[in-house]
Amino acid sequence: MKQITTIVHIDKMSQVVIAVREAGAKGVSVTEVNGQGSGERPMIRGGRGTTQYRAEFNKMVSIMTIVEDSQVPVIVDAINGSAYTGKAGDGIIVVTNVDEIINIASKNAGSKAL
Amino acid sequence: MLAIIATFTIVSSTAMTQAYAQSISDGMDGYVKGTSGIYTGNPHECWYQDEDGNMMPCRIDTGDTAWMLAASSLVLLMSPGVAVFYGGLTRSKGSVSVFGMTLVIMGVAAVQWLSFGYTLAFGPNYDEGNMFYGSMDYLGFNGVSHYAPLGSPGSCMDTWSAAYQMNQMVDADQCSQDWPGTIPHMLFAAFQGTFAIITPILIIGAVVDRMKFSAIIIFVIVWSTFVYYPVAHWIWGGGFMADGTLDLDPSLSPSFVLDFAGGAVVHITCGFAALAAALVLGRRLGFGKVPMEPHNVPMVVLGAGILWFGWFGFNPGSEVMVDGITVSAWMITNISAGMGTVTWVLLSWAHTGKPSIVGAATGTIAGLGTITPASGWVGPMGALIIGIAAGSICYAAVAFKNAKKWDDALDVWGVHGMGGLTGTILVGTLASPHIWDTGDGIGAWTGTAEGMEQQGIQIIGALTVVGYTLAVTFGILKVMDLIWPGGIRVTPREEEIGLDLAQHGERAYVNE
Repeated sequence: MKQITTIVHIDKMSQVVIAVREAGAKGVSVTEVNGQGSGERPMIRGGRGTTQYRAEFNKMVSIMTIVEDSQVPVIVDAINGSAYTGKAGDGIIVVTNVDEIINIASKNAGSKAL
Repeated sequence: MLAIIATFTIVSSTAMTQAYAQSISDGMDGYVKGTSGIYTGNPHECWYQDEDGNMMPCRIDTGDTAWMLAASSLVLLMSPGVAVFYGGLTRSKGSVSVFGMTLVIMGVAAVQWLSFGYTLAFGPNYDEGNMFYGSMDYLGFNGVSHYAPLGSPGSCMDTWSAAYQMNQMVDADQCSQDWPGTIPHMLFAAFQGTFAIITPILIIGAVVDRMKFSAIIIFVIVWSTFVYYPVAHWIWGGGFMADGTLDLDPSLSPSFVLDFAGGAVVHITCGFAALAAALVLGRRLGFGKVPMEPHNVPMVVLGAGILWFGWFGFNPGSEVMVDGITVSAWMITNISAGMGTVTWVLLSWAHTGKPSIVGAATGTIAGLGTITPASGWVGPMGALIIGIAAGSICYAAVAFKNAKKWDDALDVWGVHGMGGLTGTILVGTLASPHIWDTGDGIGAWTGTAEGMEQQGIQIIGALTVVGYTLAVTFGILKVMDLIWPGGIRVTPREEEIGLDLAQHGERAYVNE
């Protein structure tokens, strides 16, 4: 079992979620996050329009899903396809190992828990 | 506790009922029993004796009275308008505090105006001391009639209104010969009361996020007593700025400070009091390090819209009747508000690359505040010039304030203070003798000696109000800070949490 966490711009949220679900993920969890990285942050107006400054963060989302090892390439392709623009700040995909999953309702563990 | 409140209510209401019964039977407070029970005995009001010996109120104009009821309500709506405007400009953790201060000050100032505010500002003048303060005749609205207008009785055909009214005036000796003589005295007091309510509310923009709620309420009571009521008396109540004391050359016609609707009385006082308050309190924690930008721009724009609307009571209503001046003031107000908005948005566009909408809303308020003293005195082109001056001078003032790192949080000084000062001086420049049928209002642009004198009177008057307001507000806040337990500023911990939770235990936006 692998956990895939992808961090993308907030306006890409729906496209990525739809692509990941269509590629076979059983579910996703989405968290809104503030991020800094290679992406350019917007200029924000201050002082009643008399000045402007760089925003402290970009508005991003962290989309997490857990899939079978064999599904990983398909899911990663789906994310790349839906979130790619080619500019710095498109986001990142992180794949990590999962030790155990337990479904609270059915008490099933492993693949059956998803 | 409940028993105490119940006992208190029963005892006090019983006592008040008895006092009221006495006032009817014994002629208390100057009221006379009988068919003329409405007679107040106030010699400054317009009363006459009919053939049966009853004291009767002079006639009022129902059109003027209806308009002034509407205008008073429009000005009162501006106070919640300020709450929406300021509430959007603050950070979300201080939004309830801003709305709360506004609402409670509306209540406090309304009661204070009834108790002693009206008489200090507009009480009749008898002696030298009344150059600065009104007499105490109208304490608790004593002698303020809801029927009779102010002024002395005379022929209705000789009134100012008779000169332009389409309908035939009554041919009788029952009309006030003075201004404001076409509406009941109490309505004049009510209209002026709405100004006394909004002025201290405007100050809170400077102290948001860090002043104790208890301290701001007491401050507003003291400040109104020592700054607003006297300054209103100087300029509007027959004090030294209106009675000819500032007349530089008695052989020329200008003799008093022109302030149609409160450029000095309202905007200079609140703006410079705000600056003093911001400097005494100090900066908000993290000022200049973390961004402190408006948390809700739609609220800012809506608030500016409500204020623009309410200003049509504020400026045209200050004529306290309906005539050509009222119409002119409406149009002048609209022109300046529009030009202020356009000027500010263009400046921010040229200066920083994008048209700022918070800036546009600020330009609206700058245009409105700046035209206030001039709204009854300048023509449409004068209003256009004042609108441009409002947008650019207030823009520069806000930029200057930011460069100086004065934490006048919501720019009360930059917009109202500098706008009011600019307008009060420019009315001396741009006042046009083509507005009033009396030929009053001669600005320096006419190039006449009268115009130069008017310009001089305006500058002296405006700077006097600036100096007085700064000094007295500094004094009040310094003394309050010394004697207040723990000072008038909240603790850094409370400031970090935000005044909404720390002072009120309520949040603007609850997500649970």
